[in-house]
Amino acid sequence: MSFDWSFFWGRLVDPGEVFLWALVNTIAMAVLAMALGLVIGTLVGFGRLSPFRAVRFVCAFYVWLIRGIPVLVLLVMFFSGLAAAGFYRFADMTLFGVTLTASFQAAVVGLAVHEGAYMGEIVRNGIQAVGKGQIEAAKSIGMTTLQLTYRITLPQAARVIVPPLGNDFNHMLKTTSLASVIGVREIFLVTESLSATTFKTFELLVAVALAYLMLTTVWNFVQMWIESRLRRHETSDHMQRSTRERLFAAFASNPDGASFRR
Amino acid sequence: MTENLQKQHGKGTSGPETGLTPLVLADGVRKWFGHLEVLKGISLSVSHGEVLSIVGRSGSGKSTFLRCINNLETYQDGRLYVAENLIGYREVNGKLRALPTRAIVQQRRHIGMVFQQFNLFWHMTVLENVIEGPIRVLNEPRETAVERGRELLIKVGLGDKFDSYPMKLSGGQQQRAAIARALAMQPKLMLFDEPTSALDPETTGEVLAVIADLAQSGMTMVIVTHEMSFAQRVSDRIAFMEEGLVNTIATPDAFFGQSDNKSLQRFLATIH
Repeated sequence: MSFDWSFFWGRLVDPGEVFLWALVNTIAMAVLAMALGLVIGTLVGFGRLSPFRAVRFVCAFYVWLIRGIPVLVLLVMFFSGLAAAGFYRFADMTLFGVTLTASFQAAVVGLAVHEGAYMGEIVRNGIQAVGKGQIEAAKSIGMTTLQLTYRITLPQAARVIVPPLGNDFNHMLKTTSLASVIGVREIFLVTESLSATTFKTFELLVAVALAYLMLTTVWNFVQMWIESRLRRHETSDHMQRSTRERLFAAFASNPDGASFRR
Repeated sequence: MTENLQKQHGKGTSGPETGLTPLVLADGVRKWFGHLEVLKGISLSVSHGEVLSIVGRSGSGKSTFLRCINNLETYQDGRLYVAENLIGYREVNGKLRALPTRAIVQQRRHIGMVFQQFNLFWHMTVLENVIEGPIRVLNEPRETAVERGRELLIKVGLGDKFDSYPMKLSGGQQQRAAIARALAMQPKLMLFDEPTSALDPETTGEVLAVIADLAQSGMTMVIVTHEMSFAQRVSDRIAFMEEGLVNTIATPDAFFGQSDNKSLQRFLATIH
């Protein structure tokens, strides 16, 4: 077994411009797909609780269909399948001076459609968790359905939605690697093509694995910060724990962090 | 319509016979939950400035009737007017046609409601709870709403809790904040749905004191309650509901003097 340590460290210290651009693609794909997925998921989540049966049915059908198809199949379907059948062909386009390749667009749409189905269930759970009394109180002060949705239902549902949403984004950061199959120049694809020319396959794969680990770890911190912001109303101020404390507690055996305080 | 929020003088003079159009007028209000008829024709009226308490066993329909007044429940037959507006419907050739949501929302604006479970918006501070309606619904400037919100909170004894979240307050404090939230909408009518049933005895008193103050100020109120001595003290009239009907409605003195009313006596015996 041989592991070229100097090559490996070199990759970590200076991954090169190609890899950094690929990293931008990976992050952009994940963020855009997540944002679009959240929009789809919110519509689906509300749709599944709609008073109209047809709307409920369409949304339930969407969730059932998409959750039953592998993401990889979806991505290839959006990129090659639709074009082959003559439905829709993604083409490169320039938005605000940034060129989005056809494969990048297809990947974002495919990942978003996939995410939307899962998000729909998460959003539905969140909405259902909002107490009936809260809605009645909002109605009793004369709020319209729209007002009570964005002032009461959504902010309260957000407390329930954010933790699983964060986990989904963690997942999404890694799932973007599948877009390599349709030729999106993200970090896994450029790593693979580089390994074909350098034969340092293992070193490069460890390096790219570390890159994914770095992304998810950074996100983990962001997620904790968001969740602690959303929990302001729960604990009195002097009891509120810092992000650092919460992270420490996460590694401790007692997830409550009680042992840490004592 | 005459805006008379002054309290009528003396107990028992209120009611439709005073000559003023009553603020609340129910005429044969009926409601079914599926096949179960829960309101079997409620007729009563509440004058401007009057305090009406509704008592009765759980399941007698008193809360359901109260909730019909601001359309949190819909009735299916009869007529229910608040300030001469038919609640929830418009009448076309003697038939009831449901109003669009927008119109129902309009009707609710001037009717304040206080719930058994307080229902403060838990993601907002106490002050934010109070100013939410004035800002969003009445389109008041923020400064005005904040100023009046603070005044109201001071009035209900929460002058030091503006920025607290509801979960950090006791039940009694939450209920007083909920009363301030309802009052911030400057309602013509206040509805109380068992406002002290979820409270422990120590905090019940502080909430009842706030409601009694409000009664003194001349606010028109309908109170569903189990607190008989409180009802006797603050009400102009008390209604006893049984099995979806108003069994009796009378001034407190007359109400408690009905020794020949068997079902009322049975009810009073169980509650004391």
